[in-house]
Amino acid sequence: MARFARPCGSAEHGLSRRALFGGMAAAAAGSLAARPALARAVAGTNKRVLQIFLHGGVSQLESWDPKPGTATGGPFRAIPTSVPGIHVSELLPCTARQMHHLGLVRGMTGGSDDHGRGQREMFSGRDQPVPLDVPDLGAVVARACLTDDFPLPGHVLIRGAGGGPGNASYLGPRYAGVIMEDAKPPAFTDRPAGLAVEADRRRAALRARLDDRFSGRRRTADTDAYTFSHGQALELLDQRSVFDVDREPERDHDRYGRSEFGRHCLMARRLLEHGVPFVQVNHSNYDTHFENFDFHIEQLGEFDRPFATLVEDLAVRGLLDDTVVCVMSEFGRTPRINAGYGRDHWGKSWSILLGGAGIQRGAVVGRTNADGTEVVDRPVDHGHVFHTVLRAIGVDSSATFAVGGREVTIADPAKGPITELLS
Amino acid sequence: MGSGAFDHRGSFQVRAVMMPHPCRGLVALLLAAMAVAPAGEPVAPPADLATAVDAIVEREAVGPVAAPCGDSDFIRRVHLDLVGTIPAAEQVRGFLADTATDKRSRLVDELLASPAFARQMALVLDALLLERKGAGAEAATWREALATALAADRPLDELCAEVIGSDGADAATRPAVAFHLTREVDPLRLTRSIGRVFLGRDLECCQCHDHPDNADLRQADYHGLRAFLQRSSLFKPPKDQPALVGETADGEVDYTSVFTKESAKGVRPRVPAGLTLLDEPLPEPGDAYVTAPAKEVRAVPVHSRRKALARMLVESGEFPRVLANRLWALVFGRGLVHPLDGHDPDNPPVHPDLLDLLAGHLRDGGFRIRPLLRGLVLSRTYGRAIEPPPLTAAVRAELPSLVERLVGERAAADAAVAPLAAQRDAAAARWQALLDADTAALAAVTPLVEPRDKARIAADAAAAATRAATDDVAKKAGQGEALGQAATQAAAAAALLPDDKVLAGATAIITARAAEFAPVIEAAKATLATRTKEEETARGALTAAREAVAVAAAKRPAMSDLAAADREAVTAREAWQAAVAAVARIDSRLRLARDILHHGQLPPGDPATRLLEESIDQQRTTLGQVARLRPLSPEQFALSLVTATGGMAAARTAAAAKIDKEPPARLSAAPPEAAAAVRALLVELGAVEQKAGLLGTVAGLYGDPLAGEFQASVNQALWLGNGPDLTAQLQATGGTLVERLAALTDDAAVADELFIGVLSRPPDAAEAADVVGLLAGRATDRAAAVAEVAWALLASAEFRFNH
Repeated sequence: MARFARPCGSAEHGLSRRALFGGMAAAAAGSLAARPALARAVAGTNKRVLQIFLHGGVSQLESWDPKPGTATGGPFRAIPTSVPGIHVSELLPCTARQMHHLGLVRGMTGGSDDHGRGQREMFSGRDQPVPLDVPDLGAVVARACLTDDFPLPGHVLIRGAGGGPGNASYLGPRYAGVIMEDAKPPAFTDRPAGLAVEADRRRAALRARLDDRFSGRRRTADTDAYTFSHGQALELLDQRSVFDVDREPERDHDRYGRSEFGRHCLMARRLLEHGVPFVQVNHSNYDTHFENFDFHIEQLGEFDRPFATLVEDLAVRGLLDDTVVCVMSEFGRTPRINAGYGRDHWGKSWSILLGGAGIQRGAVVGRTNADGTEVVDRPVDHGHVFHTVLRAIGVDSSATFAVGGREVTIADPAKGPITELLS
Repeated sequence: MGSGAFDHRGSFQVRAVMMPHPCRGLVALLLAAMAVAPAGEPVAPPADLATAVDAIVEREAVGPVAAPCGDSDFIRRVHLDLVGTIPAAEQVRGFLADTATDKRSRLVDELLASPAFARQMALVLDALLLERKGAGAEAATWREALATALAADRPLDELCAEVIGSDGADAATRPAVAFHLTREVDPLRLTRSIGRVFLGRDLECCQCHDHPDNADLRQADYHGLRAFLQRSSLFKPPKDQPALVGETADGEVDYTSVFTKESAKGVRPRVPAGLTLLDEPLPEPGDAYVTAPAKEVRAVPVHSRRKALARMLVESGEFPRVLANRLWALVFGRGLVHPLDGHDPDNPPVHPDLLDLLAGHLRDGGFRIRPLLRGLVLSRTYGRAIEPPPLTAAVRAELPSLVERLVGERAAADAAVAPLAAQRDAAAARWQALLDADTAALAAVTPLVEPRDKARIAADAAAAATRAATDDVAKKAGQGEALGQAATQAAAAAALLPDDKVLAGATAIITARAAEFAPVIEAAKATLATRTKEEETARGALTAAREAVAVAAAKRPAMSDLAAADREAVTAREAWQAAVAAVARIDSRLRLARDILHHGQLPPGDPATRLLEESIDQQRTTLGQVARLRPLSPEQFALSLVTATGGMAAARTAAAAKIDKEPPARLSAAPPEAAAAVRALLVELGAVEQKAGLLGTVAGLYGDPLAGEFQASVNQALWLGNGPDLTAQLQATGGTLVERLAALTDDAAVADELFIGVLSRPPDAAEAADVVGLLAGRATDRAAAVAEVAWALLASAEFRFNH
């Protein structure tokens, strides 16, 4: 299956539509045959982001920042990982073996205690509430990485339950999240009943002839982009199998586990392999106000093996060098264990995981105190994480996007990347 | 005008300062904003706006202007711009067959008078004001109210003032509160939206700091505007009543720059690039509110900063320019200032004189939308073709002399900027000095306000005590009188019954009680005297405290001086801005002339040549020399899809049937002579509301990114190709275009109908032959064949763009 080159973070990118225009002018105008040549014309790095969002707020103490033997630590042990000196909760034995591909941020702070607000902050990298609507990370990554010749969507959300809307805001609908509900193909990728492939091609050919004629009257980058989007849609229909996770070998289904999350992770691998710049997988629900420990055994039990398998596969297939992996929640959970053996919402001292492209493998940045109630070294928040992910894929997060002749900041200008985590 | 607008019982007045308004008094404006009937005398617009527009554009042209567009392009263009959808096939045929020379102006007048125009402008305003976020029944009511206002030709300044001023409590202005409610009456969101929509300035980054690259976007501007809105908030009444806007009588704005750490406290409300709300009341307790804030009670202040903004904003110098620019963009596809919320000196209009002309036309014409749009769409500039004239040697031959002239003009224009900048700075400094003096004097007033307020509370309490003592005296006197009467009557009874010892005893007791009561009354009177004296003292103290405030306040500079300095600063700034724009105007033409000359030296057909050509065409389009090829808005695209496929006609029929079956109250209440017009508007609105789901889908897929950047996405193409909406419209059932045409046996006629119905033009011979070829041999699945052709036309660039 062909991969699509994308010039991520390249200065050329802003000009891609113009380059396209020039290319179209040189090629036989409007001819579908001209497109593959164009797709190859744009070369560059090929970066992606995989975001796994653990909805409801995973407990840092039962995952990335265990505190065994303390009043807040809970019943679980810490286990060594593939990186000497780094320990994680014993609930993550498979992930522990992949730590040499990954890094941890244990100084998350300044988070909200509200689900909606925490989620918006983690998705958008901006302190909430902001008076204007701001795009999610996925839209920003898509905007930075997507080229005009790439037929697949740039921002895909694989949904079980929960998840943000894939908000593109002022970046525009082109970068909005395309939802794969339970890893099923996105909307409108089935031809309507009664429309045969030949009929579709016939009408497309007539449309192309009409567009050729019209381009003789006036031709602009906009008309070319529009004409081109129809060709892309046809190409996407031809490649609809990209969205069919059942095409993956049985053996891999077994390796990822026959669970919903396992299938979604396998789907994510498939999309990343086909060059989709941003893939989000949701796993729900970690909001463990009661019976925190039982729930984390169950939830992380679902999470651990598929996630670790995905990381391993990305590494083995050479994709991890181009793919930033992040595992995050809207916030962490209280160190204090409440009367119902639960933990409540906690944005003051918690952890996330970052790994893959551009990230120091096996690094740990930030530290909490002995009982995990405070960050004592390198406190950071959603804004820094947002910058870091973008920098890791080669995007200058302090720069601006030109949208309709207007400069908009890519990330919160008051913050910057966690440089010691960048490789 | 402007002084005493909010005069009330206290000794302070609001002397808001504003630009002189040519049409109406302030009170009339405020009253008009509350009422349905338009206020003020309509003023006749200048006789021929179209000619004036063309004179400027053609005077400024670099090289030739494009030829006039054909009738097919014109009818499609003007339908899309004025009524939001392509014309129906029979309208196209009628127009193409019409040989009269005035057919374009007749068409424009018909469209402007149609209910579809009011409906379309309501959709445009809805998308602008609610940013496509309105939903549900309130949104439909809001659109109907907008359409009704536009059908009645209500002035746009009134409508805008109503949008900002409405608190939702008054039924007549209730729909307009949607603007605030959609933003949850959040002062920060409102500041940004009002800045963008009504003042053409995106002040977003100025919430936290001055704009790093643009000296004209300052943090003070953001917070000056915010100060008008800071006191407003969302009020949710108990028991599922609709939400309202509440406002307090106090609440100040402070800010600190995240960069420089400079800060300001108690920012004065000020319209960005406009005037300041100078003298606000310092009401005594008890005078601040119409309805004081309390639990589950909506606060209504006597002096509303938000209502002051509603008035000052529409009277600002920028407002008509911003509005004129938006209306220009509505029919030309791009503002003279672009982006539409980028009005600032760093981003001057492409034709400064033209923007001034349009703004003046709007203001002098009483902010009526139709005369302005009529002038625009009947101009030669609007009626140009999209094909750029070729860049010939003859064109180039004209340019060196133009370049030489422009270079000379530029030197003169450039020299004019510096003195005006100095005047601007001097005027700003004078204004700032007076404002600082006022702020200092006001600072001396502020500490006196609290003692005055305490004296007022004490005086109110003393007056209440006097009233209570007066009441007590009256009560005691009544009791004494009753006792006296009882003693007299008992004594009379005892005289008549001398042997009755019991009676005698009782009489003695009553008489004694009556005698004992006199001192009680005296005591009450004495208390009253004390209270009266105390009240006099308290009143004296209040008078003194008020005096102290008044004396301190009198040291403030005269408000007329402040107002004059404020206005002069604004005027000087505008003069400087105009000079900057004049230089930019010359620069843009010089660049185009030089690009055209350079183009002549490049090898034809080379990619670099092609890129330069594209740039030249864009520049010529921006200057209005060539018509812009522009995408349909989501609303235009959705309505055009259903118009072409027969769905709009069906929706109108259904809406009419529904209205006739159950006439809405508005229709039943309409006087007989107005009923037909009301019905027509309701049918039009009802038809569009039936398509609300489609409009929402299309807005989500095609809705505009920032500044209207065009985007074509795979998702759009997938929806158009495979989505349920268009697929249903292309079925041969329910009176669709496909059903009608599948029944025709003449293939050439089908081709003709399809092109006229979808692309608003007849096919040329090759196209007709192409379609006939596709239909040949498809007798068994003729409807499917017709649907294929119809889809291809609907998916074509020609359909997607306005040309």
